[in-house]
Amino acid sequence: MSTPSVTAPDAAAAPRVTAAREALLQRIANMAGQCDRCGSCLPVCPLFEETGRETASARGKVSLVRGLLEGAVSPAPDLFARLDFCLQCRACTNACPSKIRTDELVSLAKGQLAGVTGRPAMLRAVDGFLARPKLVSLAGPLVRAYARSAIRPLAEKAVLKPVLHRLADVADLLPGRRPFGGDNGRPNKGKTRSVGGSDRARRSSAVPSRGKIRYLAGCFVRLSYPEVMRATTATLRDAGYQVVVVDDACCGLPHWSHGDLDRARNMAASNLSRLSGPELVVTDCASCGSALMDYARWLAGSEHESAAKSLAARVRDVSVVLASLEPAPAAPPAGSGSPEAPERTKVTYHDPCHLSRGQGIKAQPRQVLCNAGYEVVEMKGADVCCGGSGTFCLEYQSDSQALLEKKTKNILATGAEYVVTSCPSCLLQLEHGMKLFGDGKAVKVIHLTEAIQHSPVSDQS
Amino acid sequence: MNGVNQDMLPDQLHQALAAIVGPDRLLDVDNDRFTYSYDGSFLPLVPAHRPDVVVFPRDVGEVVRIVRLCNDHRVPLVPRGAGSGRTGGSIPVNGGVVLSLERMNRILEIDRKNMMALVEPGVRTMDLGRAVEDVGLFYPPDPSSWTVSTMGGNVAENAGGARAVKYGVTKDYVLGLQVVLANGAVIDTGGKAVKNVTGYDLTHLFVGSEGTLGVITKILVRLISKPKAKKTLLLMFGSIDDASECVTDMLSSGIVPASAEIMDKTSIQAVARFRKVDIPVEAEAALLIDIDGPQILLDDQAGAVTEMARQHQAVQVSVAQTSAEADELWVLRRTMGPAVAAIAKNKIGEDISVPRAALPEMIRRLGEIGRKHGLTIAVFGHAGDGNLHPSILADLSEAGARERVDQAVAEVFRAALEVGGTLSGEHGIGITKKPFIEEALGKEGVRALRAVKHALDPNGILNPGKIFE
Ligand SMILES: Cc1cc2nc3c(=O)[nH]c(=O)nc-3n(C[C@H](O)[C@H](O)[C@H](O)COP(=O)(O)OP(=O)(O)OC[C@H]3O[C@@H](n4cnc5c(N)ncnc54)[C@H](O)[C@@H]3O)c2cc1C
Ligand code: SF4
Ligand code: SF4
Repeated sequence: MSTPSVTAPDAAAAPRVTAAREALLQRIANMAGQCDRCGSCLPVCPLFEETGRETASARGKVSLVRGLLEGAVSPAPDLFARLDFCLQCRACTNACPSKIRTDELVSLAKGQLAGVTGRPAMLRAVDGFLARPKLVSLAGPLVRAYARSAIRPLAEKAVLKPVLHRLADVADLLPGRRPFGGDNGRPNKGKTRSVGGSDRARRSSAVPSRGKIRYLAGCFVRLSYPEVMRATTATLRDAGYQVVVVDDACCGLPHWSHGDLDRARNMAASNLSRLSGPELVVTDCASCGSALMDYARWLAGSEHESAAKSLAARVRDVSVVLASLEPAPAAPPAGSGSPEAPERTKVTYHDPCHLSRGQGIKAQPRQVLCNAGYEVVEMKGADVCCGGSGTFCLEYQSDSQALLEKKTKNILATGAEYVVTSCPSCLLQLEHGMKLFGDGKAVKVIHLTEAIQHSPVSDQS
Repeated sequence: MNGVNQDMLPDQLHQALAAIVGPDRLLDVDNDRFTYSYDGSFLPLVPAHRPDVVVFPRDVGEVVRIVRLCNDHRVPLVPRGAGSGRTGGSIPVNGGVVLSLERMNRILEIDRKNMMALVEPGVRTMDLGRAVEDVGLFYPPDPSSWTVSTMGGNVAENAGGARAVKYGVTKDYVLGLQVVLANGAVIDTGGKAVKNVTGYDLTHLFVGSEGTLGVITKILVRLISKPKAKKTLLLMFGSIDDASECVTDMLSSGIVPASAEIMDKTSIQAVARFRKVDIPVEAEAALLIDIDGPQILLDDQAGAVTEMARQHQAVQVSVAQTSAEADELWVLRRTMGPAVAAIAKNKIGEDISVPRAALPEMIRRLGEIGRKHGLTIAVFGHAGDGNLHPSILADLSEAGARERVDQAVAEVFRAALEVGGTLSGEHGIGITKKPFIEEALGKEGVRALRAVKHALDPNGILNPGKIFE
């Protein structure tokens, strides 16, 4: 095993090698040099299992990067695509004896390559859009209305079809009617209606005051799931927190994972000042949470590194905050299991990659669901990627859907009424899965905080 | 081109193969081919030995047609499993076709009455292990790579593993094979009859043949009953000599552990970078011991092991309390090779095997060789059967490092041979140990290997450039 020496792949095509670029190359070389080519990452990689191609696996990608640095692989345009074909799900890292972060290596290498071969137009467009939080907030209602409207099928059949073809794919992925209502034309039933705190909180004077907390509502939630945003806010208020909603920021993860490194770093730096202060920063998006925790890696060696570390120590997934509170006295219902006990609502939990492996959190969401009075049934492969992974599901539809089909089958097999998760990207993908592979038996897809807001325990009280 | 004279252009070859497997089970793009130019060995990625084409047959019929095509046109053909080999066995040094058997991965039969399993070569070792354990049976060979390695690769390398000390290696379980010969003929060797002396033992000729004699397309293995219970112990010692002597004395006193793995401090610390491992300050080496059998005998055995450890000045003895704890200890051991590799710029990992009684002597000599050349040699391995993986750690870009490492490697092999051992316990010869094979087998020994090779593969198309020149 030899550590690659650092040379520009193609001196003529490569832009002037700056100190920053050199540092990037060195970092890539050091990461790739840790790989022993042992292959432990092969059987756990969902894309390797699906395609059977070495390039899809972490060993394949790490070796391609090393080959590039050592001059055996040329930066042909298809190289970007080979590296881009990654869910960034970190299943490989988990299995890797040296814990190599292939997801990060892929981002860094794409950033390096972007200077040589450029990035696909679609990624550039998505990144440009998400970098403008105001635009995201404005676009949300329009896109959702389109996705859920009666015009859509007409528009797509008509003359607009060729123009809308890509948009139709996107819209196909957007949430349809959601179980507890929201922006889908039906009224929001009950508790999640007002952001100003739920009925339950107002009813109960026994809720202790827990002080100020910041809730980062990410782009995806704002764009597609404002009802989740309300449920999270309400849940935190119910728990006694004074919630400050931060809804003008993008965590930068899309940019980072598409290899738009400089933009991602700038966004991270501006979020560091936006989120400075002593309060906890709560997320209900697994991807945002894991990105915030990774800022110190993104900004390694810069003046922001220590601020990034201190932010990481203050970031909490909402499930962690809730699990750390006392379980509600009414849950789990007494005498469950005995014949007279009321049937509890069955749910199953899908672990988002960026929560289970990204933040090491698996027990807390389940505990929170149990406390809320649900019966949690495990599905097979609960922590296997659903294939959503941001823009992956658009770029690589058939592979994404192959993973989704397995996931959907596993969900259906549990007989649960709801499948609960903690990431808007997963929500979207799982809903899509129910449309495509649900066989009419669709299980309802909800976020953890929606499950809390509509918990059987609180409904009885 | 090493005895092979390909008379087909890459384009024609591609078309002919596509006609057999279809366009979806064939790779010919530069970057895809690159990722079939390496395996788990420490051979450098550059220069890259890209195959011309990678094909993924689904059944023996397709394999036959591919082999015939290659034989007719003198195209090198390299069988490949998961590419986890440690000696470069699946690297297509002469280009040609990489024949990946990964998609022939069905367990065809688990015959509980006869206690046998019939599998395709692409079945992963662990998947077979799990499947037979589900029905109360046991397939003991467990190379540390078992999550990824294939049964075909295991047979072709005669893979061992931690349990070899009690249960033996792959060859002890293979009862029969289906093999596609270089001329495309299909033969079935061995069979379900336990006793079988019908002609030469062809089955065992192909075990350990490293893809140079034929393509293995079916494997019949023997199973045994699953041991009733198991206990895992971790023993820490103040010196590696104490640890190695403990193993030797344990075995000669009649205690037969299911596994007895040795590891020195450097190796343990390498794993401890990524996993929580409690290492007492005074510990310099450890033994990971598994004992198995009927529950009632386990406590006695554990007591005997502990007593033996005390006699060898063990500084700590711990017993895994739950199966999760035991699994964690085994993950520690299984990830050791790659973790050791990550602590140095270069790791030259070896695989020597010595008679059990010579283990302490061999370990002392490794220490001397390291000191002499100013190199760190991390030592871990299957101590119970005398199979060690000394790993020389170096930075080969430093001036003179290459020479020192080469000398050290040669001395390691020589020492192994001197104490009555050999240069490969379980990883095979492949490319990395080719230069030393004559020293190990003698001129006539190598001549005999060549004669067998020539008889079965006169055109030299099967995995050329491996084992011997
Ligand atoms: C971390 C790690 C730990 C390891 N631990 C052990 C261990 O404890 N014990 C041990 O013995 N080995 C060990 N190995 C080595 C390796 O895993 C074994 O040699 C394994 O048997 C290789 O299987 P594979 O499927 O990866 O074969 P490959 O590497 O793909 O191929 C190995 C050889 O077999 C040939 N081959 C493969 N399939 C066929 C077939 N169907 N027909 C004919 N020839 C074929 C190839 O041509 C090649 O020569 C370890 C490797 C790693 C990376
Ligand atoms: S598990 Fe890690 S060290 Fe092993 S091949 Fe994969 S990336 Fe490399
Ligand atoms: S991050 Fe996921 S998809 Fe990407 S290489 Fe690792 S296991 Fe495969």
